[in-house]
Amino acid sequence: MSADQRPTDPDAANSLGTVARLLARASDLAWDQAATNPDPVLRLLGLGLDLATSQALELLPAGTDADQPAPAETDPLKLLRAAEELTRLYRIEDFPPGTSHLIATICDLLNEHAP
Amino acid sequence: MTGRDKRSVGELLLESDHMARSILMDVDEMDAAMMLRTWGEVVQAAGELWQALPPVTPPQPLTGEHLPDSTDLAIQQLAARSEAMHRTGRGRAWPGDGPADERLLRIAESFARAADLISRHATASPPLSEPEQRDLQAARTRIMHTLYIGSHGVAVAVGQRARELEMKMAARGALTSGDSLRHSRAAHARLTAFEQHAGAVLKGTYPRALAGEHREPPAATRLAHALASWDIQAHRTLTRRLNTADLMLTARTQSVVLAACTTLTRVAADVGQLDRQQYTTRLSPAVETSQERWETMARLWKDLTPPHSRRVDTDLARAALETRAAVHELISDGTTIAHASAIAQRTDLSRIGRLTQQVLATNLDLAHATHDATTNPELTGAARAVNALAIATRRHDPRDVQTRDDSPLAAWVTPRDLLANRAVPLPDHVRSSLTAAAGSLVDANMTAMSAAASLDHVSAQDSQTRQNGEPSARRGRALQDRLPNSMSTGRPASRCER
Repeated sequence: MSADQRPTDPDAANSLGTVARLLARASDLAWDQAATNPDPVLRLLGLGLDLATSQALELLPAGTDADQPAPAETDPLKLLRAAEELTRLYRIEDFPPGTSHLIATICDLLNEHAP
Repeated sequence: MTGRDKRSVGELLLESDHMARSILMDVDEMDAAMMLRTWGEVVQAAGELWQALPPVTPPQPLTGEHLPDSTDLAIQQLAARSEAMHRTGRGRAWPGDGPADERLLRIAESFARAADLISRHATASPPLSEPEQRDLQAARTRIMHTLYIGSHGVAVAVGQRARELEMKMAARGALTSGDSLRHSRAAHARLTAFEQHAGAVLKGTYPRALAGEHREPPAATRLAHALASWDIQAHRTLTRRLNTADLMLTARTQSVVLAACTTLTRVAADVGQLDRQQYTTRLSPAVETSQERWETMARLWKDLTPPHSRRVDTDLARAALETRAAVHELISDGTTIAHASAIAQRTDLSRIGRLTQQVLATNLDLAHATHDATTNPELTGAARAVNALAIATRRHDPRDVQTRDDSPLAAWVTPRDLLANRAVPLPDHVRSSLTAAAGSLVDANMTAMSAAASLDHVSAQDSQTRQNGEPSARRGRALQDRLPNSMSTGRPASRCER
């Protein structure tokens, strides 16, 4: 458990909620595409996005809605990139402890699937 | 028992092994329900005894921690599977409560006594001498062999019961309460997967390991370790809590694992490590169907997960993360699948056959765990998805009196629940449709496991043929001649007599 007791910036926490929704939507879209495309890489992307979503939700209060409001974008990689850009709007210390792991996960996914 | 038990650990293990063989000889006369009820205790005691044994791997430089080797992981997998099977069996009419099987109980007691002896007399883990190491390997092999033989005995008894029920059903058209054909068949399939896994661990080491000739194989690859840890964690999570988000992650991770399996076996077939015809005609279609069924289940679980309950179990996520990373490292190159030659350089393709067998045995057991989840009355689903499924499943039934002109006469979900999309109990016909989907998943995975059963043998035959310089027929022996299935006659195979 982290010993960091600094309060989380409410705007940063809000934006983290949006990051979770972007990742959740990206994951759903990747798995929708996988239904008609046998490429294993698409499944690796989908599972990576699932795990990133779960990681983001771990940082938010229990019961956070990960689906609404759903972003309009339908390209999973664009949504992933948008999530990464959103994390840059605030300083890392404004986010809850553990966010740096999430950011690393998002960057790894981008490197793997959209270098 | 009267008087003090003076048997040594070695004697207790030997007696357990002999007891398991004696069960095999008398299995025709044994009670399947009693055996199934007691089997969980045997596996649990074996797992605890294994834990009490000194580690076989060297300590890590900084932490002093001993990492598990591939056989340590295998016993953990078997214990987790057995626990999952017995948890779901509780409260069912069959095998139900009742007396235990005496001989299996004695095996469990011997294992527990041996664990107790080791724990009481253990010293602070000095490096073991060479004879001690050989003795340790022999003890591990005995335990695994007892589980292998024992699981086969229980599987034969349960399989016989399933056949008796099938005949009864055919003769009378119905079964009396307490006679569950479905539960017997499911238990038989899970025991067969258990036996196959234990058999794969013993293959190539038994009985040599008992004479101290065994050498621990090279450390398993990252993928093999990750898959074993995934198997253990998935069973632990699915038996500990019932959550559609966890079920969705499990189904999606299985899809990734099977996609990797397809890629690796294709490469292995391309370079002649697996029989190409077996791969093309049996294995590949079976694995693809299995993967499709997991993805169908994942879509159902996704729809049934309320939007505020999407967080998954942390330990399950960690295990899935490592599995995904290991698969990615092996089969991907940037944004595409790696070339076959690159994959061949990254892994030992001669081990893909055995790995695939283990993956598909795990796959089947997780399919059963998923099926069990669908029958659990505590399972809930997101209100909107439940409502949509309720309407869709009723609409497809023209005899249903509760729909008229494709519209339901009564609401399945309250407007308030619909608005909040909160978790609601499943109506019976929605549950039935989920259980049917999970049943199809189990069927597909049974076919895939059976298709993989010949892989090791084909590899061995091919390499022998290559050594002899003869053209390869690559047909493999008949199914009944292979190790895990060689015992399917209900009598011990030759190697069990040693």
